[in-house]
Amino acid sequence: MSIILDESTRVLVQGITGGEARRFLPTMKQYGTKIVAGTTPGKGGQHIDGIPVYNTIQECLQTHEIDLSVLFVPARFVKQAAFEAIQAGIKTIHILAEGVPHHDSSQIITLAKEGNVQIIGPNSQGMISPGKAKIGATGGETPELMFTQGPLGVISRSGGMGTEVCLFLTAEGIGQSTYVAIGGDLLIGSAFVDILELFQKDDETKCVFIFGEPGTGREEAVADFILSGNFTKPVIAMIPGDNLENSETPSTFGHTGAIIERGIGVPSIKKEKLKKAGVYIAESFSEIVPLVKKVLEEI
Amino acid sequence: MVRLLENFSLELIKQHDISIPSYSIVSNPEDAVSFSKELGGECVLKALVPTGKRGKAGAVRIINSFDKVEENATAIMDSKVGFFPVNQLIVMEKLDIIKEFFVSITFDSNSNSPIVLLSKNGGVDIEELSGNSPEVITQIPLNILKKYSIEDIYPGIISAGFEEKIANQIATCVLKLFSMFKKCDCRMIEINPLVELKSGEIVAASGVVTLDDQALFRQKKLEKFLSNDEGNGWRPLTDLESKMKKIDQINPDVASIRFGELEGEIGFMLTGGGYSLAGFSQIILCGGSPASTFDITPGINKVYQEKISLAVELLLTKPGLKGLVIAGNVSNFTKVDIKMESVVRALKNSKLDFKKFPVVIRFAGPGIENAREIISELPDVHFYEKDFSLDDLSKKIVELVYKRNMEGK
Repeated sequence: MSIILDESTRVLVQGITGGEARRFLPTMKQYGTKIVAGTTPGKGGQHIDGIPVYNTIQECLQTHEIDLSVLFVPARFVKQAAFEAIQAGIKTIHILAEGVPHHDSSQIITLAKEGNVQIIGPNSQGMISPGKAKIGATGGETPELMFTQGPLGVISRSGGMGTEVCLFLTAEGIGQSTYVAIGGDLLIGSAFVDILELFQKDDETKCVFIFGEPGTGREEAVADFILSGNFTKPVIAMIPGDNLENSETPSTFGHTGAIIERGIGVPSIKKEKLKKAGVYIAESFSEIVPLVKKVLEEI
Repeated sequence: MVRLLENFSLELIKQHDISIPSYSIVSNPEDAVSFSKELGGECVLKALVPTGKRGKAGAVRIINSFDKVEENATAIMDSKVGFFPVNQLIVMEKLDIIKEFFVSITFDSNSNSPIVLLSKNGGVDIEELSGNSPEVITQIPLNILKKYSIEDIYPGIISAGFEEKIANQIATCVLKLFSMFKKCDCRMIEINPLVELKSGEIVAASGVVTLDDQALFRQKKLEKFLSNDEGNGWRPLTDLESKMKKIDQINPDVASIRFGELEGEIGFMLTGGGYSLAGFSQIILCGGSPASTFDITPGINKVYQEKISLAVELLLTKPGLKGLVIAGNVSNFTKVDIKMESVVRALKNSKLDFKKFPVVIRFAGPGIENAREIISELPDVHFYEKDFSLDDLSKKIVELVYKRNMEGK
């Protein structure tokens, strides 16, 4: 098994005729992602790479059943596209765009919650269930270099860093069940705990690695989630930046969520809380692989 | 985030039907004196700077008599707030205040929703307020899709400890701020203090508004409130940063550059949010000191290449620079040879001797074979590929720049 995405997940691509979609689509398809349809307003009736294109989701749903919609839509049009997908009853929506206005994200996530819809992103690089299917940029043209199937669930606020970790894990023969880049923005639809909840139910996932960042209370929420007994598999985490806490250079490195506000989001406090909840902490990048190895051996 | 100067913040608040004091912006102590005369002698002098902590810096002064205006205005204008020189002052009407409150609206990343923070003890730093006694701040979560009435907000105001006689007014004020928050794509509005006057009126005596830079494209009306020289949030732009900004302006919409200059010795050009954050932190752990932060988003090859080339060349002109590290996490689609081509062009143009000025590069991803070929023209540059971890990279550059042996560390 895996979570959210596998070879049988029926995927809709919103904004299928755009440049981003054209670039990423062939590699998704080639990897095994079951792309059944696409939409672009005003461009219905054609086929892209053998995939039928519709003007609206409603039109598409007359012929197809959809499990997940991925938005290859520029930031400023994301709200409209996401609302369309939510209102059409699609249960999982993956938003890749960087730079979505925060008010739009808040509205999308709020509307989705009311409709029991899972949003991944915005500002998510993608997701992959190795050997089965992938969404977005994740894995690029050479996914087998970075990912291989196995027992480790991976969640990262940074898309690039999650992939980098998987590259080193894969080189050491440690495979992943699913890797989800949850997104670097301040407001995102699925936080670590939302994904952990799914990993808890997934038999293939034996333990989980999370890559955190300064800012927000998402890592602290993981600690609370574990302590309340909701997640029982081992967790390994890395949260860089504790030596930058008192720095006078408040750079967010391009992630709107990576900012310490009102005393919330201090890395050292995150690590402290996670340790108390029994999470294994990698203090630097090179500690990740040995730590994951050790934890997997002990299971 | 885009932080508006206080006068612009207050103007925006006023546009949303919340009273503000009368004020004037002046550029010299003489004008401060003449405007304070109009105010009757008593006034509040504040530095107009794009940063907080003015109170602690002595840059907010209450002036009780007319003959003290000039010396205090001069003192503030001669001082600095953080790294910002004070070029302008706000001369503000002194209000007859009975009580000072705190009210703010921001996004809560936990609920992904707006949240009102409210305290009946305003006038002090919110960090101080929440740090010492978090219970004095009441949080009222709001649903961004919902329309609220005074009755909805009222119980929250009462539970924050406000007296019934002004609770209605505070609730009205919160509703107005919520409407402004949504209409103007705010990331945060903070009024501190919101004051109750002897007359019973509620006035925003001081305010800060930050806008969402990801939504500025649809806030054309607010463009007039944005200043060009707001700095980077905590200090004015340095000369190098201004030059880098010019490079970015070649085409502001493609391959956006983020750059910050620091005091260290290692030119730091690690791209990718998480990778650069982790690398930055790791180099410091290794005992090194980065001289910059840098990021560039992928984009059309030609613009991307031109910008990277110019950026590398510019960074290499920084005095005191002792080495350069250029790296990125394994890339999915961005071709690393495209990047390498422009980096090598800039390195060649610099005419530096890379035996003496160490350069460490790590790339992984599509185009790597070609990238390897390109960098072979510069045999003294240290080039590594996918197996070279972030820790290896950090150790290597620190070792070379500071001539330290990092074996076993």
